[in-house]
Amino acid sequence: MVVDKSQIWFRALTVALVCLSALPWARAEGISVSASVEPREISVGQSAVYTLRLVNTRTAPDLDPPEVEGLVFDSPGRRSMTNIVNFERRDELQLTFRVTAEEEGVYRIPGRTLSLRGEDYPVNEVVLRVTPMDASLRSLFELVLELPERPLYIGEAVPATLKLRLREDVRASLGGAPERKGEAFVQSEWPREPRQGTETVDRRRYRFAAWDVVLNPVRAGTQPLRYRLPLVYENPDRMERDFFGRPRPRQERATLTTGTLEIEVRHPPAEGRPEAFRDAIGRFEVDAALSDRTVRTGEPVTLSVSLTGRGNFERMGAPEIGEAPGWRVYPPRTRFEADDSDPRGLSGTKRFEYLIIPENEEVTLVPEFTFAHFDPDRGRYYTTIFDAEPVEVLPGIRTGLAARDFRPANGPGRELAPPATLRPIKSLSGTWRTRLTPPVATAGFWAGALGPVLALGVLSVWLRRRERLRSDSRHMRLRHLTRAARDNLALAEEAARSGNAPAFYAAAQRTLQETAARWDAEHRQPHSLVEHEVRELLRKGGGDDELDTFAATVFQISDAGKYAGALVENRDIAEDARALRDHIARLSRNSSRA
Amino acid sequence: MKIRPILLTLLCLAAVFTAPTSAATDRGEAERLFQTGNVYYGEGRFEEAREAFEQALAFGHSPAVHFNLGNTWFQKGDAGRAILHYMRAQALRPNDPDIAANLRFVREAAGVEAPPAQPLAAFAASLPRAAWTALALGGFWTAAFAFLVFPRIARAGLLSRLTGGLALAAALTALLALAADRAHTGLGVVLAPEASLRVAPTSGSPSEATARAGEVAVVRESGERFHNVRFPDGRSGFLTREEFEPVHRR
Repeated sequence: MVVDKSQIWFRALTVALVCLSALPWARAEGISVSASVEPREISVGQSAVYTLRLVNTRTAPDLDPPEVEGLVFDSPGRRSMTNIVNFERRDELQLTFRVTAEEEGVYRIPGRTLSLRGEDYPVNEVVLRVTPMDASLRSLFELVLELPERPLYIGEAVPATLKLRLREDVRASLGGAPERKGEAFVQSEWPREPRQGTETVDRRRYRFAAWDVVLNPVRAGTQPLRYRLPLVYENPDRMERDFFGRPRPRQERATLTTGTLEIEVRHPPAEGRPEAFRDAIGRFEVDAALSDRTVRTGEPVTLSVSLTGRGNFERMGAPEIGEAPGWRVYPPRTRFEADDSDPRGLSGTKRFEYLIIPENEEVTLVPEFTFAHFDPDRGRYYTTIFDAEPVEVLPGIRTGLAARDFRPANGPGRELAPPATLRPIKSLSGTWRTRLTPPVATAGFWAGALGPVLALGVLSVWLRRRERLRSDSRHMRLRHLTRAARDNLALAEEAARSGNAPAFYAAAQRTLQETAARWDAEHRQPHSLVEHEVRELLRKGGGDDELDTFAATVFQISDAGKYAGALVENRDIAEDARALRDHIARLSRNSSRA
Repeated sequence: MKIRPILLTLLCLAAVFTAPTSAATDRGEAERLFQTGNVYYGEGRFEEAREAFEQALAFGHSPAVHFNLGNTWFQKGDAGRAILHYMRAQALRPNDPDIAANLRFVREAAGVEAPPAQPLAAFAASLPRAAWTALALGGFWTAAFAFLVFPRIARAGLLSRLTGGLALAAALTALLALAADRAHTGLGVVLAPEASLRVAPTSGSPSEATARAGEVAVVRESGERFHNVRFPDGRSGFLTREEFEPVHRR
């Protein structure tokens, strides 16, 4: 048997194509999952990569990073690949987490169970050793947190500074914003730009970047607090060569931490706490002034209390006015003027302005008040008592200015001062509603509300049209003619499609007659209009020479067919059908414009 | 005489008026829980009071329940949830001075600022929401009647057109007020004492800023586990559903 050479090639190509098309169905082994970390040993501040390898699967569940105290995991990255060896396909999906060590030690990244395609697969535990930061690295930079060297108190506004020190010859840039870990503290926002400068520590010159913030301890006990800061730096102690062979410092990454600081947080001591203590912690000087010492009954005077100093102005409560028989006391209006020299806003003056109104002439003394604060540096309370001061109250002149008619100075449009106490609960439940979201905010409400209006609108339009048809004979005739012309146009197009020339030209003639009749002032029957009348009327309706010629042709062919039985020859019926449709459409446009 | 339409109308009306019977039972239970909560609150048993008020909310919403629950949460030391419930109470009854006073008080105590006032907020709050809704619908229907129906049954004169125009203006004004009020429905409150604003909706995502309990933010998007929020000062990020709750639950 002789086999053509081209046939051999054809067969070989077919086999190759079949093999290639079978590759996607090549047998895959079962799924396996494993974890690893590279490198297995790093020093504090350095990073390793924790990898989960999922073999023979292309899908993986959304995984949260592992949680290991002392290690910080970034969000995962994904990489997938497929290898085909000896017709065996191997899919591999890698989930990688960048892990940074904050403290030395041996860390076990725990195993877990992954659920894939309804089956559970165990993931092995891996061990990461973290050695102390290299001494040479430690000499390059450090991250420190500067806090007062004493216990901190709940409610206190603690000035804190996170400081990054860099050896003068180290060039570095931040790899991200500083991060804090410590749930027992609330911190103010990071400043937009850190404060920068130079300083000498242990006879070594450093450049520094400092973030001045305020910490508010919220939980008592020994509380952990830690800051971390990613850094990209050029290590002058490790040189490498660039493309041209010139030496240059190696660029490296590190995550600096302050280490875990154990901070003692206390409640302000209960012992010796004055009754008048309203959570003011800091150092303050108190001053008070009365706007007028001679006042009439029912007229307001302002008692201004100023607290100047440094402390938790944001959280402190207003000094409490003591028993004030004969006085009506309104909650104070509060203002704070920060000291510009303090970037943290901890220093300044807070003013409480109480509106007080004598209710009768027997009042001789302004009510006394007491202010107490806790000094965290000295660990003790201080109380300032402002004694009742004499005031002269004259009889009210205008009876209309009774105390109950008084409107406080902070009227509508301005933020009212908060009340001194919480207003009591309500005893009546009032109206109950099924939904918190108002019905007006739901689409169903508006659909229900506006639907009938739309229906009403449609009904109104329909009624108006019906009435016009009844009362306007011209409108009715035009509507009838338009419909008749449309129907005949459809018949003509149908005849053209089926190649029935006599039927097409007869229908086209009727279409032209019904269209022309729209402009017939004598309202004759459309079918009674003869050729020249139709052409005249079509010209009246805006028809051009082309339409005139077309109408003449249609009439001639149609009449010839009807009366002489003449055959239509050398006419492209489809072309005439298209021309008829275009002419009628143009006339309709002219008509509707008119 | 057409009997069928009349019968159908009567049946519909009967269905509408008999439906509230079961609702009335629920209201009775809600009322009982509300009063129970008040008793517990008076005795200083705030945890029991909270439970009673929250059980009452399962049957419906009332500004008083949310207000009392706000007081209860504040007494329990949770300013975030207190502010959340005051805002819910305020959404139901915008003009209540007690709600406004306690909201200011708790914000001052928690050291958080009120969100900047929305444009036209004072105007929208000048009438209850139900009144605005009634005005919008009443105005709309009056205008529809004046412009669409009246000319069909009688000769439309200047008076009917003027009435229609005024009704339409009233309806549009009320719609404007409702739209201004609607802006509040996208707000939410931070509940956690200090919440990290994550840059992505994953628990391992780094955070760029923090938010304090009681701060109010606009909910841009809500997912299964996270809300994407934006604060008035420009801070934005993702907070978990435990850390943040919208004022109007969807």
